Amino acid sequence: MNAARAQIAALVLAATVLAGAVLTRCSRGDGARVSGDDAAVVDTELLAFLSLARAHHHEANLLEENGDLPGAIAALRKITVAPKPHPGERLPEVEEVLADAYARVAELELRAKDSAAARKDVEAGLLHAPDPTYFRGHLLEVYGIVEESRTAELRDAGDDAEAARARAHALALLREAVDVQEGVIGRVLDGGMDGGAP
Amino acid sequence: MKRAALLFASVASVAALAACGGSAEPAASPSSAAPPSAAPSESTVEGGGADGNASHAGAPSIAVARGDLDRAEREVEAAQSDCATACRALASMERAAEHLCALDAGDECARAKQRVEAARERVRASCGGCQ
Repeated sequence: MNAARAQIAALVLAATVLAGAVLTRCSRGDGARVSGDDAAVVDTELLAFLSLARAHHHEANLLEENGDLPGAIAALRKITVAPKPHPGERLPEVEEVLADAYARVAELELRAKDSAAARKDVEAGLLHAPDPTYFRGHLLEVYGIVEESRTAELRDAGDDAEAARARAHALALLREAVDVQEGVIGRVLDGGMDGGAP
Repeated sequence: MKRAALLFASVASVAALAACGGSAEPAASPSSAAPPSAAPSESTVEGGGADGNASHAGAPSIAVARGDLDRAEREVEAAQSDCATACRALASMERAAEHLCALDAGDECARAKQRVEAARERVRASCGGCQ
């Protein structure tokens, strides 16, 4: 009888330990990744970065509404300088967020009449969008507008040769933007692929 | 007595695993926070099926229906996402063509405008237009 009781106690203890171990593993999320169906892998580090980016876009919206362009640019810069999830890996979602943030920064800089800074940021953004996606098309469009603006500045400054070069560059960029976005529309409507991916 | 202990051990283990499946779903749910779609997890559907097999003959068909509903929901979301991307791409294309025409009002501008109009028509046909 005592032996039977000891056996029961051991089994109960084993069951409790097993249940506790499984629950602990679940609550930790085992590496912070939770796999739902085949396509959906939710990553808490990635979600935190996406949430941070959204918050800074909202912050920039409010500042922009109040006419504070430098403040809005500073808010968006917090996205580009923030620590990235899974350093060393190129996550498409992160690359898209960065490309989008650089494009918006460049647009705001252009409105603030700082075409040199806009050019630098749009070039930084293009490094995050090497494939013919919506994000690359948008960056090319913004770059073309930056070069169009630079054309006018150079012409006003009397530098016709450099203005002609900037104009030719602007035309090439805008042409490429039209090509890329036309391709994105074709892909997403025909193949049902996300325009974020080529 | 031994059987009772074994039963208890099994129930405890299954309960823990079920709790794991239950906790996974909310973690995958904040779809509003991120592009990855967060449909109800496979484990949730499987859990329903397993329960059903134990006590209800009709449960497997409910699991199948739930799977179909999930799949249809994902397809609708994907179509909405594709139209949103197409509309954003169209707006960008329109702006690029507009600036291209400001720099060169010749043949290149005319061609760009034609391509924009064709793209607009394509988006209208597939998505009913953009807001």
